[in-house]
Amino acid sequence: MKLFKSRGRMSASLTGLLLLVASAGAHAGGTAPGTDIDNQATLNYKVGPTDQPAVTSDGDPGTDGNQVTTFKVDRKVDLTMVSNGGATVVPNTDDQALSFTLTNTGNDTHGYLLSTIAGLDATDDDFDMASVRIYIDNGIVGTYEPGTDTPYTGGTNVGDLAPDAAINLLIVANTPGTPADTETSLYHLLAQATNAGTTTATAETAGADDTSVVDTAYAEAAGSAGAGTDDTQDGKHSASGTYTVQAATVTMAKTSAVTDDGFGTGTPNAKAIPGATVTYTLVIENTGAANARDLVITDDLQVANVTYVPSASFGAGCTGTTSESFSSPTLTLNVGIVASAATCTITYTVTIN
Amino acid sequence: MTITNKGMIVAGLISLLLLSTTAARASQDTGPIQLTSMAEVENVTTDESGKQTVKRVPASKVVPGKDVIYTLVFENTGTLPGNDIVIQNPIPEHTVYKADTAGGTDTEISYSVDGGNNFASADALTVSGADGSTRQATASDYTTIRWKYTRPLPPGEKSSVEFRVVLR
Repeated sequence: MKLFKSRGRMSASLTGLLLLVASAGAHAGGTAPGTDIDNQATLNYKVGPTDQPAVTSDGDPGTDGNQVTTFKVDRKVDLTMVSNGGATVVPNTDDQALSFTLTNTGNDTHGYLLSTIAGLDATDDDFDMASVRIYIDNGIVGTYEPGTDTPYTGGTNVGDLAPDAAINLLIVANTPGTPADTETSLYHLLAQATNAGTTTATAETAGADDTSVVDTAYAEAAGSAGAGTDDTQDGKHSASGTYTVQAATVTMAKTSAVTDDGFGTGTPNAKAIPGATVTYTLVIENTGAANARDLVITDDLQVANVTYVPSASFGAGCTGTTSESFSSPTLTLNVGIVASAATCTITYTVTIN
Repeated sequence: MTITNKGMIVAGLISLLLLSTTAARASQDTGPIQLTSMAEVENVTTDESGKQTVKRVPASKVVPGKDVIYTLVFENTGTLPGNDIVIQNPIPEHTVYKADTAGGTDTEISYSVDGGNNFASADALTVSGADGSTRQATASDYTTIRWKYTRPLPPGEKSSVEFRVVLR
């Protein structure tokens, strides 16, 4: 009696142990396609006080013998493209990078086709970047390193990813000279799953189900590229990153005052009479997010009426190398840097002829 | 006490005889109580008006993450009632039991986390961690489900129990 019962129980225990081992090795993407999932239950009972032989379940009563209940795991195509953040860019600069990571979240190995999709101007963003390219990000993640990062050629398989594996990617592009401070340019990076080692898009199995053959089903969600381009369950996924321009926005205001009339009277009573000194004040303000560099200010002095008195005086907000040169009638003032949110004040004097 | 022992020995002998008789018959599915196990999935179809219909079909195209419904039907094809019916189902490999989905009319349900050696009700089941601490067991810890059918099953009658798992 005891012997028979143990036999039934022992098989249950063994299965339990196997379950524990199998769970430890499971992928996040799921059980490998083609795996058989088997089930068998055991029923024990008595007639009156007497134990009866244990009964194991039959999964297919129409067939002779006792069948385990079984079905196969199908291939689940699932992929996830993630943006690792945006990038701030300065106008007229090349090779600006947006960082992405593509992960195979399905249960089978796949290759991938990649493409970039520009944001719609006026709806998604303000301008387009130039020379938009894709690279495999091999070195420091998120940084474009020529020679280390591998260029991706459109229409090719970027490389096979096993379930749970991921690859870091970059969109690299050049910022044109035209965009203004805070303007944005958005790009989607789209991936499409292909059969491993090929450029053939993995197709979802259509038609009647077949328990003996592995079918393929798409499982991924819709990505950022939007309806029609990247829908839910179409074997594609996308994410978007944004380039944001940080520019210097510089304004200048010029004022003048007679600071000495030649006889000792100063501002505000001194009159603009021959011999008087006039001081010009330039206030240069940078309201942009980037430092303004290499400013050149020119002033055409009316040398018929005035004589330039060197030298110009540069205020604390005028940083970097400052210099002036006067080549009649043009006064040229150079300021190395007017930092973001800084004000550079320059004063220079002339005497009235 | 002596009498009891004798009684047990006698009972033991009887069941040993039964054991050999059953072995001679070989096939399990000719016994008085028969047990079948069926695996199904739910397919949701949406028609043009947006109305959703849920239909149960035999499990075939099952991708990881999908629910599988197991139904165990037990039928008394014999001439004597069966009693003390206990059904045990190890959670299939690569699946995780879905909490609170085990059911069956006139059953007491318990679970095991140690491969079927010990069973307890859901709220009484605990798991020990590597550091010796214990916590309440959750559905993903269960290794086996057990249904005790609380009434006899008369000849010609059948009943069923079911549970759901999620395919890893």
